[in-house]
Amino acid sequence: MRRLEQELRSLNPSVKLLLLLAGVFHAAFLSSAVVLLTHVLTATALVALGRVRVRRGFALGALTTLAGYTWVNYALFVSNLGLSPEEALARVLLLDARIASIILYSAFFVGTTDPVALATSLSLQLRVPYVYAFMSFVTLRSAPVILGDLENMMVFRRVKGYLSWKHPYRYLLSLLMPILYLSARRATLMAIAMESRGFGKYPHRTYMKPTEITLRDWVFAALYSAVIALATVAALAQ
Amino acid sequence: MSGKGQKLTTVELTFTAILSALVGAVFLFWSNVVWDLAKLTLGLLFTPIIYGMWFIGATLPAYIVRKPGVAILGEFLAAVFELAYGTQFASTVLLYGFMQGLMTELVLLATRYRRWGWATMMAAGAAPALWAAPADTLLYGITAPLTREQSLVFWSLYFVSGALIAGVLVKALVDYVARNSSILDSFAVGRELKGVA
Amino acid sequence: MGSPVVRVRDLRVAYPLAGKRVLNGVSLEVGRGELVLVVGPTGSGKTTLLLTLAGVIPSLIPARVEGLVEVAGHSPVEEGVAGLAGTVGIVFQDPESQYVMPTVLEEVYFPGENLALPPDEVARRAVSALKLVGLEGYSNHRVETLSTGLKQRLAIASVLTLDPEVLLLDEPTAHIDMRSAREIYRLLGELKRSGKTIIVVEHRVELAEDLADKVVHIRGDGSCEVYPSLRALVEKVGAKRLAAEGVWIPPEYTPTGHCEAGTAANSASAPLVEARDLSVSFEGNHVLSGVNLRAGRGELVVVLGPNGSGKTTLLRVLAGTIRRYSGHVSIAGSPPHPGKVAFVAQVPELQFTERTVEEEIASVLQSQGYKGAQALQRARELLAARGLSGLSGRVVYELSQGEKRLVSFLEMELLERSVYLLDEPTFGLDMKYSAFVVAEVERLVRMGKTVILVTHDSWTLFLLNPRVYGLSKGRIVFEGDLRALLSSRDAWEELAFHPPRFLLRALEEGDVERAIAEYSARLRCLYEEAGAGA
Repeated sequence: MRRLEQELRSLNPSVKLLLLLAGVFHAAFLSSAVVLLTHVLTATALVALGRVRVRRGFALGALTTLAGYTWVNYALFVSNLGLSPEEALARVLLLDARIASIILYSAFFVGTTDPVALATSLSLQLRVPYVYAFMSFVTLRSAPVILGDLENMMVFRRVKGYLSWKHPYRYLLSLLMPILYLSARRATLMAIAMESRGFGKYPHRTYMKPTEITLRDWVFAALYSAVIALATVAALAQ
Repeated sequence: MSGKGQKLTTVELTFTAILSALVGAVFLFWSNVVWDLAKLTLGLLFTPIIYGMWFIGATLPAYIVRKPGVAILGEFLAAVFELAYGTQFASTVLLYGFMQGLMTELVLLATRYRRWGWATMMAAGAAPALWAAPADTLLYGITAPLTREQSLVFWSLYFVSGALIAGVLVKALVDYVARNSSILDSFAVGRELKGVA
Repeated sequence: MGSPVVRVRDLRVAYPLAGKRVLNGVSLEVGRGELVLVVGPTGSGKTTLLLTLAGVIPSLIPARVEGLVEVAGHSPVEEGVAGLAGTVGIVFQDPESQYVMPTVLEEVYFPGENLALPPDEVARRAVSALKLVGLEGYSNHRVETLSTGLKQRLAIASVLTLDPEVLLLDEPTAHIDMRSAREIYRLLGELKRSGKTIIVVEHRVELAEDLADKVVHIRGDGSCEVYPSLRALVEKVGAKRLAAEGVWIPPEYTPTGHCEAGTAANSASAPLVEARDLSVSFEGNHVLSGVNLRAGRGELVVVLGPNGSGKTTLLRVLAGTIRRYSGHVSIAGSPPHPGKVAFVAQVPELQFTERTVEEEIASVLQSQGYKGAQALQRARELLAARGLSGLSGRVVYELSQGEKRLVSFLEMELLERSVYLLDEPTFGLDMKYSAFVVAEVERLVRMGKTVILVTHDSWTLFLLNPRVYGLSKGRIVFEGDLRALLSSRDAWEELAFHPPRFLLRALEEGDVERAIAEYSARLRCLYEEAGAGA
């Protein structure tokens, strides 16, 4: 089991992403119960086998999304389209299965993929020029800084008594200028730091932790395709 | 004059990346709070009036930097942010980011990255709906409980919202900042609005 | 000496929308293995000189450059930053903006990877660079968890992996604690001995003084003069002139003054701010544990401690914006609330909400009850009264760091609150503006305000006369006055504290009390005349 978890976590991120997307499209186009059930089960299996640690916030969010989606759709199916409760329920469950499988596939993807590996894979496998792919790092590491700044800015506005509900748009505008200023300044400093470390000097570079497409990826692709094919056949046979 | 065929400088790249972090944070707020609020208060049919906010990852940096590739990069990086910070739809968010950015990029390509008036921005802001509306319908079945006529209204709101929020609002805000401060002077928008070559 | 590594002849640089040249006829030569200290007024061409030598100007920052610049056989103006990667390394003041990758090891791999070096070479250089700066135990740490001092060392390590001949450092210690600052200069000393050529811009000249082979003084008009030592510079230019330019002249170089010592802190009054057994935790981390702090009316309290010690959290609790804590906290007898304090930010831009200085001041006045045009008028009057009319119409983001600090202080004062919370008020400031901050703090204390000041700036600390709390990893590890602080050597390391050289010597001679008074007296005389706008 441990071995399986490790294998799943070592899959090439691009391969994983493309296969999961194919799965999502498959579920969307062949919306029969068999196909959707297969996807939900497969996705759940992947999450379980990959031992993805689902955070409580995520799980709660996912459940609320599903609940909200279910409720709104059911209500509209009945009131808007005039369907009978049983038919409405059936269609709602099918839609739920679709959303659930997308959420589960997403959890699997996020839970087993390291951002560094993803960016590297974009450059190496999907041939995105590394200067673009590596900007993901800049975005990701700027995130806590920007969020921290926003939080700080709100603290000082409270101290100054700069009320937010009087003119809500003014409050937001007052946040925009400093953020743009600080972002422009940081962007310049980071660019200088990066270029002085050779960033962008050559189109190619060395990767200390390269991502590759290995046998593992082919096996996964084959297995996954097989599952999808079987489900398709079963659906068409009905 | 901004022209196509100009390579992005490292500063423009990092600025887009940092801006995308901010945009991504806004996206998460928009998905988790505003979308649900809108559904509750406006009803499903009119909810897409807020959808345009999810296109600003493409139009905001593109309008500031005015060079090829920024729209795709910006929207994609904002999607990467969402991926890392707990969106529930991680498997599709990157594809959405890329395709929505691409749609804006195509509009800007058609104008050769030289026209930045209200019409262009409205088109650039509405363009990502060409992906978002069909994708939401096909992948998420979002219009399942709507009638054909209602669906048309629903889809058209994607475009209207895009044009207004990602087009008009973005242009108005950036023009204000560029004209009234030197914050954006090192980017194309600052140079062009202030008449420096 | 052999041919110089760095050669500059009649360099003239002007920024696009500026009227005059920022560098006007600068010439200098630096030999291999020399360390050159660059000093001059803030906003002068010091940073511009470094940026030009690094190739940043004009490739990344547009400017008009004339004259000859040659670094290690390359032409920075033509080759740009990328062309010089591997020959020239540049380190800036802000450690937060100099790293890209998530972990330490990935960050030191980054340069080698970019230059497409073979993997074992990348690894070898990374490991040796980390060892050189003393970060070898941190390979798998996430960079964002490091203190600013360590981040700055990481920046140096990252630059060193490319084995540059020339190292340029722009105020490398401006944002970090004094202990880390000394370690960085120790490191620079080692690098110099190993043959690297180093050019460093530094306000706190005593750190670089012993290492410097030359001192370059960039004057306000953009011209420059080269001196063989700091003493030669001080003798020629004069301590007062240099102080007015923002250089932290070590007291040894200043004439003995007859200026008064600072106002004594009034500790007899009942506490206005009180924290008893305060503890705060976020997600399992104990940010503050059992903190006890008291400050009375008209009292100055300094909280000393390194990055990550919980200082900012403490201020936030006192400001009433963190409400989840255990223990007892009260401001003027009742729980803390944002409306009770004047909180001056470490980064002034975070306080600003408007575009121009007068609009900014006016917006604060509006919250005091003034209306629209009336507020603007009053703002102009207030600025004029302080001698700051020149700043009135300027956009806040275009001000210098020191000017932003002035405005941030002014707007908080207008709130007329009785408790002041100052978060690293001398952060990123030169001596002239640090002196302004000191003068402001004393004025507030004289007015009877309670001032709680958080800092890691040893130099400014000894110009004040506070009661000091030492905060380390969320706990108070020291409480007492400055003399007691100097006597508690064992606390220095956890507080990332290191006293200025003048006081360190006095400590060894056993003459601390007099030295503290003299330190303050000598520097006061200097900066009172240097004075900063207010």
